[in-house]
Amino acid sequence: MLDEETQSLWSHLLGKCMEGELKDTELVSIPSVITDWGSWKIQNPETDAMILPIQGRSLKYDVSFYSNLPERFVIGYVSGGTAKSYGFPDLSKQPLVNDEVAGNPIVIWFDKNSGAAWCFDRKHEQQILEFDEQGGKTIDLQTESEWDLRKGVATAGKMEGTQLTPRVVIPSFAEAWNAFHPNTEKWQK
Amino acid sequence: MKLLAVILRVCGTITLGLLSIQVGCSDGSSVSSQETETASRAESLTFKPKMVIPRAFPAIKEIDVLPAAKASTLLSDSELVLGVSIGKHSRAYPIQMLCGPTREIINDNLDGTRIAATW
Repeated sequence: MLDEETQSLWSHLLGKCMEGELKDTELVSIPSVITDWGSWKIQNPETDAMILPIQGRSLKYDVSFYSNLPERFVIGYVSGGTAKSYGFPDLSKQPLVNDEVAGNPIVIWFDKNSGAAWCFDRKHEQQILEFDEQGGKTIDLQTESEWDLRKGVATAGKMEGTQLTPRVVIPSFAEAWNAFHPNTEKWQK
Repeated sequence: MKLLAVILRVCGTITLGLLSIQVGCSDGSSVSSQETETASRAESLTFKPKMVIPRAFPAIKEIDVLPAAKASTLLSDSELVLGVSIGKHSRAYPIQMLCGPTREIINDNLDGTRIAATW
């Protein structure tokens, strides 16, 4: 990846300029998600979509892309110099993960049907929340408020309307993640 | 090796285009910590770019977008999209349309924020 303005070379996974005039410049990674169009539309009814003519390739990128070979993929997270990966097979068995990475408490919510993952800070103001699935709902154990962990927002209960800070998580080939983060931690279910 | 999608906020007037770099990493790199406000990249890697296509393609700086209902006539519900929400705006970049060496980076402006959607 290079920029037109200076022809410097960048890594898109790292968001960083690796060589050239802008070396060591870091771009801000913005939370995003890879998911199926059907789910995205429902969760974001006002969305639009980029449309470009499809070129060449016969490989269809639909939800089977991940479900065919889940062991090849991880969800990757980086905080304060520490990288951690969460393997798709383990996430499929435990899609709600309360974790702490480099001292930062986070929650990851995984949709095994699409391979989509969302991540938020579990610390809100001075309180650290722990999430659980109970009765088909996602709640926090501290206040028993209900949450939508695709949006990181409490939908009912004492904390209704509270918005957690989203964090960047990236779906990646496991071998690519390990190459860019050779000292990555690996989540064990 | 192919990496999956990332959305980056582009600073200043940087426009990103594809040179199809393969990045190699040395084994056993030592980790040095570096605190930054961005998602930080601390491990030291050996950067070994390799040009796999003979020349850089022009950067994509303008795209067509359609509202969801119209886009749904072209997209199937099960196909993968890279989705991002900034402010009140949400946009999906269909993965199928990001395939092909000229496509893998989209320079865009969403809700006034300049971003690069990469695959």
